[in-house]
Amino acid sequence: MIEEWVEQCRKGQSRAFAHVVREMQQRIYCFLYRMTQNREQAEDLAQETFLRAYRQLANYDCKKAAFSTWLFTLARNLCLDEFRRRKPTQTTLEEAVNLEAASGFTPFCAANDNEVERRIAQAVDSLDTPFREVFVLYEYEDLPLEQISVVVGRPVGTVKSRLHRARLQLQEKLSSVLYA
Amino acid sequence: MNTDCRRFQESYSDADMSDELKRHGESCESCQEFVLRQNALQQILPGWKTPEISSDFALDVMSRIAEDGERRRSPLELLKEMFNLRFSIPLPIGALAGILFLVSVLMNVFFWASNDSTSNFDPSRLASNPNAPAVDIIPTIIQGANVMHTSDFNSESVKGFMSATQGMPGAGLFLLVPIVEPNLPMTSIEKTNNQETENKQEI
Repeated sequence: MIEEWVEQCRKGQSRAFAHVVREMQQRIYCFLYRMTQNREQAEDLAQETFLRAYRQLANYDCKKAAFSTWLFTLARNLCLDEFRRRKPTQTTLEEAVNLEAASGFTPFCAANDNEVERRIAQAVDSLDTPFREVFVLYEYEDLPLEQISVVVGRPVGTVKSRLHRARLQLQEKLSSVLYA
Repeated sequence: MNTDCRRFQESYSDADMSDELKRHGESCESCQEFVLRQNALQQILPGWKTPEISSDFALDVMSRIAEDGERRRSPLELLKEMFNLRFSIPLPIGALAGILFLVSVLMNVFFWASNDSTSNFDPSRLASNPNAPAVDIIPTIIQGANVMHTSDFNSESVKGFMSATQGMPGAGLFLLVPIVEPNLPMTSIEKTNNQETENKQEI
């Protein structure tokens, strides 16, 4: 269905793009939110993604990838640009532990849903971007490995390897939650 | 972690995992540990909820697209578009046609005037008679500017052409053709000046 709307847009019916936006907005927003962990920033980036998609619609080749894959690629590139521009300060593992202690986190607190959510978000955020993007795309956006490989522009083997390392790191970082 | 463990754990999500790797997973303790931890991780992952996107998100995007379209059609860009579409091809052609027309008219007048006055034109005539026809002035101007005079064309065909096309605007354009003709003798500006001096001496 999306492909049909995209085709209509390419023929000049710009209103059909509204259907594309409605169909894909939540997925793109969720991906960007999980990457940035900032609601406003994710929404701004999502808007920019759709705007860029509309402008570059002529460059989209349906033979190379699905439209959703192409859209995720645009969103991912915009997100990386944003990271580069803002140059976020990286938290070392030691700092993260100290922050955790300061926040009064205990396994008991993990029983709380919000706390689990916060812990997962924190753990995913602590992953390096190449691991985080692969993990989010696979585990939360249900993209197959082949499509993720297109989005991140790396071979499937590299994607598998990154996903594995992300999982190992998360298992370790969330061990207190996993065995609570 | 040995190679098999790594291969098994990396392919853990693959639906088409080979039987060999499956057997390894069943027999390897560390891989079973990995599977247990991974299953536990999978169970808590949905706990990370994302907020709903704002309800007017699509509207915002579409209005930004509309704004973007309008901004792209700023007066300067519209002018550029107009130029690109309407003038990029006709303008050079029109300019070229205009130049060719001007050249042809000038050359026509030039040859016509010189045919009338021949090479015995006397600039003193202009001084003595201010009401002299305009065609008489042109060779004077040309002579003063050291431009090649008609008398330099020693070809009978050119002279014949000149008399035949006298007064026909645009006919002078065809006189451009002899310039590229290799057999047509053309003299230099110095020769022109010498001939003019000789003519004056004869007078």
